[in-house]
Amino acid sequence: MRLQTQRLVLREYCPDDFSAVMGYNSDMDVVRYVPWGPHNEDDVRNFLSAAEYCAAKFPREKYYLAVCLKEAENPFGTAVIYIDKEQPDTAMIGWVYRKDFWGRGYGTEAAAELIRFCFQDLGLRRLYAICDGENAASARIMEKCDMRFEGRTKKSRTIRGEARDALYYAILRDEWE
Amino acid sequence: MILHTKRLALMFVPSCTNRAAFTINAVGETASIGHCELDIGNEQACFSVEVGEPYKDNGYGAEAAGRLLDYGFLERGLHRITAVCDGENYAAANMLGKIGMRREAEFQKSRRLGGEWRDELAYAILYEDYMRDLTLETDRLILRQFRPDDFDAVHSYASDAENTRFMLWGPNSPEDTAKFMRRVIATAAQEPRTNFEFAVCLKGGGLIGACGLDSVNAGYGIILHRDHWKHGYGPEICRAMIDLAFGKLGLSRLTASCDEENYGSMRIMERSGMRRELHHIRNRIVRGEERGEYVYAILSDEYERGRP
Repeated sequence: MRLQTQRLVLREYCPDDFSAVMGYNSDMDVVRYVPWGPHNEDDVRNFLSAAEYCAAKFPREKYYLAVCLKEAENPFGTAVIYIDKEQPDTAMIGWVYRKDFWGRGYGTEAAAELIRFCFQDLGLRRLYAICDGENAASARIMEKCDMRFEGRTKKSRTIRGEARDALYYAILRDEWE
Repeated sequence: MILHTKRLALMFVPSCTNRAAFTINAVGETASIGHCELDIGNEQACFSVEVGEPYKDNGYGAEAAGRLLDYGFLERGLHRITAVCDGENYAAANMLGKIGMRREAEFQKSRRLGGEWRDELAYAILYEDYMRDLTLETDRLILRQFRPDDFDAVHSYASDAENTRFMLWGPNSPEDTAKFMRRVIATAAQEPRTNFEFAVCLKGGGLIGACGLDSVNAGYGIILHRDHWKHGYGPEICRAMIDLAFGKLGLSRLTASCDEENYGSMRIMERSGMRRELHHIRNRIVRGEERGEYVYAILSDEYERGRP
């Protein structure tokens, strides 16, 4: 599967993406606000095989998409969709991007396309996203995509041993339309 | 580390790694009233409890011992706990029986006391026995494990549309309730146990509801027969769930949620010291209708601050 926006391509991961993924998944600044990482080489190999496994599964529950500039081969980040097992009309979306690609609107562009894909192509009813209580950049992407703030959960996620707050955002298909 | 009970605080005294020793402190007493310890090895432990002479016959020993069992099984992951008392120490033998231990052996002339060889009684309890009988007590209620003969009392509220109006399930058919009974009875045998389901009973009365706590997702839920609404039982059950989570289970955060129009449930959670954290708008479809949900939470340090 392949999604396109004005400047970006969101495509399936392949084994050749190893060094690109290693570049951002092993960067402490990139994973500061997510519960996993920083990755070593084995972690990245596991990540890529998990991405491949999920892409082959039917019905598909998880999408790990490589986010690339249109003119480039190498991805500079990951966008994910996790369809809720108990409520298959609902999915969580999320993302991480290479540091030197921050602040140029790529995150918002990719997130808007994820939302369109989920509602229009997958026919989902509700999407939500969660970010760390201090991850202002990620919260800003959610707000720019017209996701609604649903609340802050105190010390609800453990990130590298530290209990941290999280922010919840959601959007319904009829709100998006 | 402090282990709390209704009237006691057990204060950890650092010693060697295979030993968990505590002084026993009672509410309103400045000096400690005794001490207790668990000698741990090979996923087992032997415990001892000593309460000073002036404080005996108040049930303090059983209270401390019960808390030590919780600590040993739930926090230290032990598989078996034992205790030994003098063959003629009827008070101790009685107390050990009361906290669910069974007599396993009588040792003849096994201990030397003041120049005399004395008999001893050995008591033991296994993790699965402890879990099977896990019971919580509040002022007016007993929360005990489910039994197959609870079916009628459960079905009475679970099959009622008004009673289950804000639940994600129900109203139940007899098959639905039978499935629920099988599930909750099976959870008592889980090892390690992460699903704690209780039948809510009036002291000296019948079953009036149910509650359950999942220690993996750190969430709980309750339901009461509507004949027993508005008697303050809800907050009493919530406090028991919160005590279980932060006391016995050692969790640091606990959540509960309700339908966005379930004002009774909201009031119960607010009266139990929980904070509203999330308002999910139309996040689920219940009986064909899009419904919203409020999620409430409480942290263990908030609970400690709210302690009397």
